Amino acid sequence: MTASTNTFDNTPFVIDYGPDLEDAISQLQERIEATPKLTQRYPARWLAIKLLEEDNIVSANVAGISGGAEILTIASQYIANLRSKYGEDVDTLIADRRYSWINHLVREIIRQGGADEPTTSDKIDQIVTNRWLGVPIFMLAMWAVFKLTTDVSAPYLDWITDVIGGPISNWALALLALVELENSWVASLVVEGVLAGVGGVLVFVPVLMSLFLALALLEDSGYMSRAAYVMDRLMRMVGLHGKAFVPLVVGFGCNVPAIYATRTLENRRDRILTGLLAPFMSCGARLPVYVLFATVFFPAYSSLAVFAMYLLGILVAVLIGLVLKNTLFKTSETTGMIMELPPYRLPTIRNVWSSMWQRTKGFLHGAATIILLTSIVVWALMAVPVGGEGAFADTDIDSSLFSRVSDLVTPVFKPLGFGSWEASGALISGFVAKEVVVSTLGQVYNVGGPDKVLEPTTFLEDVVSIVTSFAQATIDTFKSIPLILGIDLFGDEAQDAPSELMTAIRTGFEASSGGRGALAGLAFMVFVLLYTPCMAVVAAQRQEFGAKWMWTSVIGQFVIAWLVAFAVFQGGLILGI
Amino acid sequence: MINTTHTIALAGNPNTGKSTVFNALTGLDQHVGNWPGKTVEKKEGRWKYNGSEYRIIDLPGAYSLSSFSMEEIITRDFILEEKPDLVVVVVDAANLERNLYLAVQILEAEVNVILALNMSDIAAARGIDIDVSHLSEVLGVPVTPMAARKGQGLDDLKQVIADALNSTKNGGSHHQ
Amino acid sequence: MLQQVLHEIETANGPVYYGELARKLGVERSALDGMIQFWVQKGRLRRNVPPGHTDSTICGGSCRGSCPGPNSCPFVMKTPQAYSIRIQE
Repeated sequence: MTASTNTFDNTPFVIDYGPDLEDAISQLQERIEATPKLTQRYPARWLAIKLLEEDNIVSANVAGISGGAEILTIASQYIANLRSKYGEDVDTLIADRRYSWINHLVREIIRQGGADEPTTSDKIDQIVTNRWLGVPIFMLAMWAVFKLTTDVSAPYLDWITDVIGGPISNWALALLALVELENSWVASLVVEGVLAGVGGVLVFVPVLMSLFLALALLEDSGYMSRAAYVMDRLMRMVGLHGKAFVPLVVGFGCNVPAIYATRTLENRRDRILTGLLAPFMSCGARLPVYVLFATVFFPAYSSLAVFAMYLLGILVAVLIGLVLKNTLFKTSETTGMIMELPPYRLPTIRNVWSSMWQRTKGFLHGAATIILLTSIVVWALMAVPVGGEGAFADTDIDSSLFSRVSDLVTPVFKPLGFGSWEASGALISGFVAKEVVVSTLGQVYNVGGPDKVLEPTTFLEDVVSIVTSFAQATIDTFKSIPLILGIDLFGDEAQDAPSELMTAIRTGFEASSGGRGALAGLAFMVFVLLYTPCMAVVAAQRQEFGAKWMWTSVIGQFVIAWLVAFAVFQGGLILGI
Repeated sequence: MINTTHTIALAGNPNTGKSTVFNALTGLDQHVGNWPGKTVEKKEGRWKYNGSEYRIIDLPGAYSLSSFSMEEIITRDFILEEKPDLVVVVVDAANLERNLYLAVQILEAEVNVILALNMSDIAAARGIDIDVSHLSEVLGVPVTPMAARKGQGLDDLKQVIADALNSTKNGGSHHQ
Repeated sequence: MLQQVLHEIETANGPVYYGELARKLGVERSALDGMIQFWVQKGRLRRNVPPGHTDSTICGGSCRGSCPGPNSCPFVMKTPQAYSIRIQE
């Protein structure tokens, strides 16, 4: 490219706006040229065009000049005629001609690489958003996410479990001993309340970080937008409003913003329908539950089990959507929509890290506030003796207030295979936040208790063991990467011994299901996926849709969860699984 | 106020490298303030070239000359009311179609225009091949390809500006 | 050109994306965006952003939907930019 001619053309630049517009422009131009006060200020043709565009500032200026009012009257006649002829405002017609004129010019002067030639992104999109391949590719991407989430985080999960169960518990007890509280209720609060509860959830931080890492990679590379597009089409196929996709995709992270995101929908019915379906999208908080149960009952297929939960959530949402669409929510047509799919790019470390850390921080914040609080409440309820046996914080757990209250709802879960007070209690407190299911299980199955004999270690030994085991976990993670691709480079290693909590859960579920622990565990996972959303979501639903729909969601989801979990457990029994 | 011979305005869409061009021309000799009564930043500077001095105004980034945004109104008012001797419209060669939407509206305002085809390097990297002389012919104004960020084409632009101002009929009417 | 953009969005079976429509009409993506912004100004298209949000970032938790920025929000999620036909009342 080289510089062109360096002189100006002396003929003024003119775009041909077509006969009707040109007629109006030239008539107005003639009038303007007869008014010197106007021509001093504006080029005549330019002013004629601006008046036809109904530019308010220019029109106001013209109105203030003598003779301006008549010109405005003439302009408004032309505007009215053109509008009735074309059914559009004149500024639209003018802008339209300008764009067409430019488009024509650009096609002439761009010899290569014009708008018709697909970019690399376009070529990828033709496959990724393809009508038939879009959904399978989306499933594949999700599968990769859960494979990454479960495999990469597993060694760290073990590491953090050991750290919390070992050194941190030791230090806490040592500190308590210093102030001579090691045998008081304070020790019980710290060990059975905080460490078993909050600690039980904190061990899943590596899992969530891996999930957030995978999500951030998908987002930053630009794939997430495509996933939204593919989901949108899926939604439309079942007759849902296209725009519902945004809240639903957001729901995979957290259901609360998903509820607020329904505001992007114009129609109230669509908003409510989407708000009722969003909680079926499995949020990050439910992941610890799946991972825990999948590790206990399906250690060889844990990522498959987790993936299945997410798919089941989508499936149930689609089915419920179909039912509601044909009963309560019959109206509302879908409107056209255009969306920007940003070009694919290599994710940057900075973006990925910031997004991952932001969400992890959110999870940690939850652990430090609501989960801590719930754990303390659960501990207090477990500490209160019922029926005269024992004293506060020194009671047999089976005769505590918590177990007695939980026992009241136990019959409801009997047909689902997890009719024990422990599972019932975890599900009740899980209403506060779904991670709490895990923290409560950690508390109720905290078999060791404060009397647990811990090997005496020095502070230094503890620190050294934390560091070395972290290094080991990192090595294990790198070893696991080829496994994700299905390549077993390092041979089978001995499976880690299950933690006390895992053993306790297995024993508990075996007992409550008549020896069908795995089946009951699966039913429990399904129930956690589908049942009543957490408190924060319910509050958001009430704020956005009112009490009536909030209760619909609370009760409706409980019933649906019960029915599906029932089908899983009883179906499994019949099939003899 | 800087007392100079010619006023040159820089106009263009946001993110077209207009400021890079402005900085390259004025160096440190610039003055930042606000447009009268507006919260939009006004940048003004002085450029000396071949013994002449020019006053350069960096207009706010705008997509059109309608009255939708403050930036559009400021750009429009300046071009129509201050009647600069020359408007250098900086366009992004990689997004020519969108950028020309503003450029043609400035041309319609019957002012002297030079089209600075900035980011030519990016356009070339994307395989976009632009027929510059044909573009210049159709618009009836000089067009200079450049890559301001890499400092390419700035000398050409300076020369084109100086030549254009010398060749315009009323080029000297603003002498004070 | 402008009317064509609106027409294509209206009559498409399912969502349309920029690249797809730009190729179909033979316009540059950024120019298509310009046309979309024109229709937004005219009130015929509407940007799909929840009230109180200035961009497509949606967050949740204690901030209750109106996002004070990613640093004070427990959960932030960026959604793709989308526009839809505004239903005429």
